Amino acid sequence: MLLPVARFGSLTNIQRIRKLKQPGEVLVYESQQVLPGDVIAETVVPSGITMVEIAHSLEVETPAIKEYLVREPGENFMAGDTIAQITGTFSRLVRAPIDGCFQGLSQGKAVLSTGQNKIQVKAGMMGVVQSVIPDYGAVITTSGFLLQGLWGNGATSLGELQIITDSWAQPLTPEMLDERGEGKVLVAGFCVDADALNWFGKRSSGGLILDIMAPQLIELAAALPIPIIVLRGFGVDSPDPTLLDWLTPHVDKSVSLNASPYDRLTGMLPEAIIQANGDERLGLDSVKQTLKVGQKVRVFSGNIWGAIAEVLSLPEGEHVFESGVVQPAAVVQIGQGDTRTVPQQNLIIVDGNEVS
Amino acid sequence: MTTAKKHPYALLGLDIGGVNSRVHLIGIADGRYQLLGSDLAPTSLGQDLHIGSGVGQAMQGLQQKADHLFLDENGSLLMPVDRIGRGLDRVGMVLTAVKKKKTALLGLAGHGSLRAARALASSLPLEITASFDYAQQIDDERAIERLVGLLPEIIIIAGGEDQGATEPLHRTIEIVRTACDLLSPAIRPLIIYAGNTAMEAAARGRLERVARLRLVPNLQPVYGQYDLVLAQAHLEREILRSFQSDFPGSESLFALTEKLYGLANCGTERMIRWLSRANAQDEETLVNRGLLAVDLGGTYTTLTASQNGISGAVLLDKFPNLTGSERKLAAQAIYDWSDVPVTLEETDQLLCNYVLAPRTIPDTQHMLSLYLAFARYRLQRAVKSFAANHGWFDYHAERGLHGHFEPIIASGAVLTQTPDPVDVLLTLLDGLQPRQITTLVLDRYHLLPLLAKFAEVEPLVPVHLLSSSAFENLACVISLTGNLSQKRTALTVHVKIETGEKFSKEIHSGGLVRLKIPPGKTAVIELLPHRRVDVGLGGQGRSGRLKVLGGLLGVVIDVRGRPLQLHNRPELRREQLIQWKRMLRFDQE
Repeated sequence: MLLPVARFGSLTNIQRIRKLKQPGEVLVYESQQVLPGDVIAETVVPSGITMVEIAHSLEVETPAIKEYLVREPGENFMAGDTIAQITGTFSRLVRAPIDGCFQGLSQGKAVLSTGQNKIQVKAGMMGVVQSVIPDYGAVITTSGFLLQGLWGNGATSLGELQIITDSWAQPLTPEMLDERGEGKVLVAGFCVDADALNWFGKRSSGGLILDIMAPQLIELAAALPIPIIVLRGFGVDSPDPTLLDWLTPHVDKSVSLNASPYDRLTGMLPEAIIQANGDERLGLDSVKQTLKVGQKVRVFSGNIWGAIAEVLSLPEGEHVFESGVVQPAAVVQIGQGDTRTVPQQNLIIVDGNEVS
Repeated sequence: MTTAKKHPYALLGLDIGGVNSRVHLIGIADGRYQLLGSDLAPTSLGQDLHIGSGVGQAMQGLQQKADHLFLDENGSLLMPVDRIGRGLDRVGMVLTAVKKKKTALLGLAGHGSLRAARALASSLPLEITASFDYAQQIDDERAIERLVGLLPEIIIIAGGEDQGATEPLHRTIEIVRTACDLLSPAIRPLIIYAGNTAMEAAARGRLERVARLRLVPNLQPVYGQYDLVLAQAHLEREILRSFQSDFPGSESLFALTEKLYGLANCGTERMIRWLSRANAQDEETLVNRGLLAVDLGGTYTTLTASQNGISGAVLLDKFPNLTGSERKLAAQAIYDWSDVPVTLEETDQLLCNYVLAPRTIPDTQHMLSLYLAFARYRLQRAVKSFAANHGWFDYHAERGLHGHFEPIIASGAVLTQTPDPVDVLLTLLDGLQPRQITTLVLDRYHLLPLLAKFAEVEPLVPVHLLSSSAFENLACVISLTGNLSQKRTALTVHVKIETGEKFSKEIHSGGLVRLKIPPGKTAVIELLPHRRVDVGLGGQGRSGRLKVLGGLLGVVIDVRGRPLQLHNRPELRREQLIQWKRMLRFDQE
């Protein structure tokens, strides 16, 4: 069965497409090094629309006002500059009330804009521009340890990795965050305290990776400007110790966070990339893979929701579950403990490499 | 000279959903079109995947199960059918896995043309990012700025009945023209003009130069009457065109179908509209008779209904936004409708995690109960949304669903995978709360939208398939309403089954009763309601005879009243829900 993949620390060649939904201007070039906050491409639209009466002020018919304009569309002006005028013995003129840009005419009025809105797509990772997608964006590549989550709040950043080990034994508190330096990407086991999240709203932090977050914190986390990634899900369960074990060797390394929410059409998940120093490289990652024996998976089932397990076998045919639902099953082992038979559809592959 | 039209011998249906891709083989057996086999595989959505690979996997699975050979040794389709009957004549395809397009609506009256525009946009995978009634267009600067800032991919202009006012539409057209003019040509939206036909020339003159413009019939030519069909067809084509550019490689799938493709929800609506017209012709005496289809899909909840040839649809995201107010309502509904011990915090947590892992299926009884409770919420939300867009759809949370929708066809994995038909039936009854008499049918393979496509090449395909076992009759349901205290006799029934068996029963208010009529057997039921009870035969106390077809659960009489009243105390509520199930499982005559 083809299943989604959410990497849990695999060393991977990573290739990401960053493109605008609508065409715009690409601001990077091939082979350029980029950081997570770098703008790859942008579309600019005018804002601060103001309409200034012309026909009425000049006392002319609407279709005739073009003759009296002294500005071209796209031309900038200062407050007080003339927009249109009738010259002669009794000259009349219309002046711009504000600084801005003349955009055109509408129903006898001049359409002015005073600002611009930029719709941008950012790199969201450290890497190199592999190729440019004209008018839309670019393909960025890097290699690194890839840690993908299930929920993200949409922000991006870069920082050095630090682990709050205490938060595996008890929920993250503001006190655990004291003395943490600015610009760090912090990793915590679980968070149920709004004050702990609010700490991030007051300081310049690089971001937060959580194994578990309480569901009541979603709105707050979504509104924070720093990236927050939740790896396992929402609840108050105890965090996964294997995450702590896996992250410890990477402390102080540079990590880029892209907390973009899951996109069901591209399969892209919120993710953290810890830059790799060595030359060892694996194949390109993929968003879906065929389930195989030996793979590590995340299980979404009953009281083991989000747990990481290993696929022991994939029985032929279909299995009747306790609910009576009949589905293809996988037998998985959680850590060194119990084996469970779970629906294949309730799995996400976290490591596509078979375990020897 | 005309040649006799050849009936296709074998057809392959592809249904590319947000979670799964299904393939169906339809062929002739015993002189009728029948479903010869189905299979499914996860939809291969993802930036490094080919959309066709999931479909291909499902085809391979189907080929292994089916007796009919339609793939060659390389996995390619054998087309057309050869002289020994191998291969396929046609391939049809419906899609759900499409990207929603950002859409802005401009109309005049909030309850008039703007409502019609909303009804149109809600029936398609469009994301309504803004809507402007006339009052919101008075400040044209702000309206233009908002439109520009939202960067809509589609703008729908509605307003003015035919021969109605034209002047306000000038402002609307000018706002759209100015907004488009402010955007660079590459990012200008498609404009659908669907307002007063007297303003079409003005719309063309002002808008054609600034953006792609499509003129379609007025969405509301007469107040309260919608004409959405052509506009919907235009938008369907636009969405499918985008799909092909969003998913490179999908062209090959489209090419296979020789233009026999469409959006799944549009197919369902066509089918429901067609069936409603056919019903109206068959039974001219019955007014307000309609059909309803509901799909609890992996990505969307879709409700389609038709009555007297008028139809509509609503397409809603499966899940509420986790940062919006709907989340609380959904969590509360799961809490209220689950028959297992659970707290409100737990249902909220379940909902949030379900959003993260939307493909999961319930493998325990506990999970199944919670998922079916969420299914009830999805149904309730769909009927409410539909009623908000369509005045003819008589649903009110306090009264339930009025209007002789017969049958109600349901699909979606949460229903079709649930092993106990009692659970499925109760989910539908609790979610939709129909009144009067209807039949609940389960579309096990989500075939309804594909039938609309195959009807274009062979009208007999839907005729035969709809009466086949692919559409499983769950039960004929008679829902009683009226003002009657608990435990009083609400209805007396005399039943005569075609097998010759007869029985009578007095039915008390406040529960559910199952009349054991074998599946597929007809029975004549004489209904003698209490004078304050309405069984759907023309008013309170009106009695009559009814010929019914026994479903999987026979005939079910719902005497719980409308709206359904749940106990406030959780333990009593759970007991009540379990009791309702028990009544359907064991209360057999």
